[in-house]
Amino acid sequence: MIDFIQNCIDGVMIGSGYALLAIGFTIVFGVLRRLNLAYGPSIMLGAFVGTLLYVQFQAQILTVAIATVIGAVVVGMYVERLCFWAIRRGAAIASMVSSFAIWMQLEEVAAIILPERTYPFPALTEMAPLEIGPFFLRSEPLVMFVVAVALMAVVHTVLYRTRFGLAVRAVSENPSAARFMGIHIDAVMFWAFALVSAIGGVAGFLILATDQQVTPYFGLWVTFKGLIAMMLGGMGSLPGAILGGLVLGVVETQSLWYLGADYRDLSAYFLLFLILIVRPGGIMGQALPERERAADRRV
Amino acid sequence: MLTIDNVVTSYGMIKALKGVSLTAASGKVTCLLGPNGAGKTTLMFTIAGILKTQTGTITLDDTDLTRYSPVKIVEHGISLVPENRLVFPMMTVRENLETGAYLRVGKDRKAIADDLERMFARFPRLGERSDQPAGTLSGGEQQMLAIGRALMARPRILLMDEPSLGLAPLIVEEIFRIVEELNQAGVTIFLVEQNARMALRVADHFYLLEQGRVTFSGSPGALEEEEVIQRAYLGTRRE
Repeated sequence: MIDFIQNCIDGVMIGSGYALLAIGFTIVFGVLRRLNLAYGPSIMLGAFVGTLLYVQFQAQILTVAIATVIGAVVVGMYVERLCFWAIRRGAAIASMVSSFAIWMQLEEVAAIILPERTYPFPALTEMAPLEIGPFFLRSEPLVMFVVAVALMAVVHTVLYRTRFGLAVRAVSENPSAARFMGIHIDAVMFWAFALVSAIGGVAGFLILATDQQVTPYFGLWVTFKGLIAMMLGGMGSLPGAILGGLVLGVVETQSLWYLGADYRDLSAYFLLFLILIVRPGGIMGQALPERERAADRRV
Repeated sequence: MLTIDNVVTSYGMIKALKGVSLTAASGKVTCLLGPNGAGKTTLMFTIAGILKTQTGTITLDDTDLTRYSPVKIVEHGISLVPENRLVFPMMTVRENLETGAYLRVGKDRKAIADDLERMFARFPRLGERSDQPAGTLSGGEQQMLAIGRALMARPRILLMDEPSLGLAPLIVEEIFRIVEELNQAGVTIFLVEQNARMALRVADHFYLLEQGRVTFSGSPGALEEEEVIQRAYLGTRRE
């Protein structure tokens, strides 16, 4: 039982990082109704900029963090201009395919910046694990968890308490109606992309600082974890993204402990498979259509 | 006064509006009637700046809006209640109304709060449901919300695209009562409808739009109601 609870604690902490990634996918999907497949690789490239400063100039951890976030934002805006802004509405497939092409491009750029496969990434803290009763709290995941929760609070405030947030939500619910309200849709999409890239940069930094190494495959890893967490929770749903991330983290940790490393990813895919059969819209994804249909019936 | 002069709007090769001219006088209710596919919604979208005219001009009072972006057109006092209401289903009634005042959000807190109170006073049912998601409202309530949302922009003219669409007859009566009340309160209204009987009851002036052209202009008594209804639903029969 103690093992089980310990795994849940670890899982929730790792899951908070997944949740941040899923939030990034879900906001862009909500606003644009398109998947940004280059999201993971743009975070990876941001992290490579941070790593470059660390390896070449022995930069401090804070500098690495800032460079990672700025790098991710700059690359994110590049992706937005090229794959989403330039390709107009009504061409969702073209956008997604081109974001996949950009993925390849970004991996090549990463290989040019730092040609070896694996580079060290600075560790976040050197603190010993916190002991609470029979449970251990490792310091890196703990920092990740705290920062993730703080960042979620920031995102929530931006979306629900600011003018920009009102515009983002209006555009994701109905772009045509948002336009009639005088909302500049292209601007909203651009800034939503910037916000999401910054979140991704922070999440990427925290995860890599926990792993203490970075490879060009980090982009693929981010895309997998973020997409799975988003689909578990329900595409386009913010609480769904958080829940999906936490569930994914806990399931991975439990299966790692009880079934072994080989089953970690397998059980995550199995869970996704199961959810998609039972609730095709994801855990939180179905609330809306049901409600809309009910409203239609009432007139 | 909204003046539309010789407006031509096309979808690719197909001309939807073939030189439409009409005016909507300040303080009045002007109706545009016509069958499906006549170009009514196209005209609304053109006025709102979503579609661009090829020739012709659109002016409100003395401002030429023809080349303005949709954002600037809202800024200049044209507000649209879209066809099918298009409320934001997951946002609360209050938030929906706030989006209507989007251009003022953050700058004009006090005035927006006052406007919200005014909307809740005018539409008490919206007040009762102010914290409910708009998707849970009935069709009639959603139509009221769409009207309230457009009014939150403090428009100089309110464009309404088929407000009776898909609503039960009693609710339609209520919506048109609201149109009359708004007009009595001084709101200029330009209404597009297929429900000719109801529209003629509230209109000061009406136009018939058939196949992208204005084919009749006059006051409600100027044409036999039966003929208006026939032409609004079916268009003129070609011999």
